[in-house]
Amino acid sequence: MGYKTVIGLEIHAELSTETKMFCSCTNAFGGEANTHCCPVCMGLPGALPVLNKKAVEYAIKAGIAFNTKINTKTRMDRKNYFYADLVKGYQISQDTIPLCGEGYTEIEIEEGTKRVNLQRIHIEEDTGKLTHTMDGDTLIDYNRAGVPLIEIVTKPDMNTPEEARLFLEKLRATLKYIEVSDVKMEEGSLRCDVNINVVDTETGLKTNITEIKNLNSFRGAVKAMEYEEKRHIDTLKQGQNTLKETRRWDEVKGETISMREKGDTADYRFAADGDLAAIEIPEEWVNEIRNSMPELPHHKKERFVKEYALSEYDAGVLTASKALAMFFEDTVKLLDDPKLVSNWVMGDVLRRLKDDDVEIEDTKLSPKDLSQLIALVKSEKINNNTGKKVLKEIFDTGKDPETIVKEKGLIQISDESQVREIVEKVLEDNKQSIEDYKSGKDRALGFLVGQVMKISRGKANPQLANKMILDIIKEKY
Amino acid sequence: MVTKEQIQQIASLCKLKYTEGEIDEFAKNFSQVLGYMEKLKEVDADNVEPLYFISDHVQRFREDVVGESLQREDVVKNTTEEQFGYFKILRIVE
Ligand SMILES: [Zn+2]
Repeated sequence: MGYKTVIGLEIHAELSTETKMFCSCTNAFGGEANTHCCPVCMGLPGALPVLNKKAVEYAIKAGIAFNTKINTKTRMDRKNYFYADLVKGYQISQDTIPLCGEGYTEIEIEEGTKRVNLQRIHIEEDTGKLTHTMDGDTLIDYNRAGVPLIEIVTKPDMNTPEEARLFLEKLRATLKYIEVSDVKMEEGSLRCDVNINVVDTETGLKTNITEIKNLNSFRGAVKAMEYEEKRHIDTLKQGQNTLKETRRWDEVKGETISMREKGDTADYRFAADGDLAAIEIPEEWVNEIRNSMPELPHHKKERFVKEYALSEYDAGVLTASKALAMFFEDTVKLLDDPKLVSNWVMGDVLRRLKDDDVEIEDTKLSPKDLSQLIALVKSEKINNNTGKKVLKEIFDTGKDPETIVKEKGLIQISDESQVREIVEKVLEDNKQSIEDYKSGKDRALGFLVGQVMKISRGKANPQLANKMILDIIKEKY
Repeated sequence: MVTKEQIQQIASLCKLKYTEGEIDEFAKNFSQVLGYMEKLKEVDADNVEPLYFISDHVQRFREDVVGESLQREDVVKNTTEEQFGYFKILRIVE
C-alpha cells in the first residue's frame, strides 16, 4: 500500500519598494496606525490609482529569476469581496493575464535535482491589518493597505513536506538575492498558503484538497503539512474522504483546525479595473531588467565550485544566503585560502549562527576578524582549539582576534624548550600511561597530550607536544 | 435565462436586499441583456486579435518616490468609532 502526497503552494511576498502600489504613501513597515494612508489607499471616492513602476520592475525581476514568461500586455483586475481589511470592497489584483506566466525553479533533493513548476506570478495590493482585542473588538490599521505584493503560485509538484520546505527556502533566498523583498515571515513580508492532498497509488483514490492558511514560519508550515499528510492518509485508510475546506495551523495545539468549508466557494466576480489602463511592458525594458539582474544562487554556486575549488555541497551551503556568500568572498580576498576559510565558515561560524538563530550580517564578526583569526592559526601562533575560543570571544565582544589573543595571553607555545619542559614533567608523573602506550594502548598517547595541553593552559602546540612525547618515550623509557 | 436564484445569489454577494418584485424585474432584464450578448457569437471573429483591455489607453507609471500621506485625524475622521488611532469595529473572525 502506498500513498503519494501532492502539495502546491501560494506565496505572497511584499515588495520592498519605497512607496505603495498605487499611491505615494510610504511602504515602511510598522509606523503608528493609520499614518501611511491617503485617499487612494483608503479608497475614498474620486481617488485614482497610478501604478508604481518599481513594483512592476521588481515583479518582473522575480519573474526572470523563476524563468517565467513575462506577459508584455497585461492588466489589473478587481477581486470583489467584503471584509474589513479591504477599504474599497475589492482588491486590485490580476486574474486572467498575470504579469508573469508559467515558470520553474529547481530544488536539490536526495535523489538529485527536482524541478518545481510555477503556474504564475501576479501583482496585487496588500490589505489592512486587523487586530482582535480581548474586549471583543477588532481594530484596523490600514498602513499595509495598498502595499505591493507578488503572489507566486506553484503547480502541485511537491510530494513531501520536506520538498515544500526546500522550495520555500529556495524562494526566500532568491527573492532576497534579487533584493525585491525583505522576506521576513515574522514581519509578514512573506506569507504562505498550502494546498495538500493524498493519492492512494494502488486504487488511484484521492482525498479532497485542504488549504492551510495562517502559516507564519517555515517550521510551522512543515509541521502543518506533516500533520495534514497523516490526517489525509488516515482518512483514506478508514475508507473515507476529507472535506474540501480551509484549515488553519494552531501552533500551540500542534494541529490544523477547520476554518470554513469551501462548498460556498468564494465568487470574486473578477472584472478589469477601469481606473487603471492597459499595462504594456516594452521588450527593451524587460531586457534592461534582465541585464541588471544580480548573480543568482545557483550561478554563484557553480562559480564557487570553479573559482574556489569547493565541493558542490560546500558551495551550496555558502551560497544559500547572499550575505554569507559575500562574507566568504570578502574573507578569501583577505586570506587567500578558500578551502580553509570555507572550513571555518561551514564549521564554527555556521554553528554559532544556528545556535543564536541570526544571520551573519547581524553578528559582530567581520571578514577582517575571521581572516586575522585564521592567519593566527595558520601561522601556529595559536592552536586550533584556541582559535575556536577566540572566535567565540569575537562573537561575544566584537574585539579583534589579535587583541583577544594578547589580552588573554593565548599565544601558542611553539618554543621547543618550553614544550619539552612540560612534556618531561608530564611523562615523569604518568609512568603508567607510558607503559600502557608501549603495550599498544594508543589512547594513552591522547591522554598524555591532553595533560600537556592542560598544564600549558591550552597554549602548547599540540602537534609539537605529540611528536615530543613520542621522541622522549623512545629516548628515555 | 437568468433565474431568480442567480439574482439572489449576486445580490447577496453585493450585500444588497431586494423585494420579490424587484428580483423578478432584474431576472427579466438580465436575461434580456445576456440575450443581446448571445448575438455576438454570430460574428466571425477568427481573424480578430483578442481584446485584453477595453480602452486603447496605456497605463502610465508613477515613479517610486514617497509623497505626503493624510494626517491621522483626517484618516479616521469619518468613522463611527476610533480607538488609539485605529478604526474600531465589532469583532469579526473570518
Ligand atoms: Zn496612500
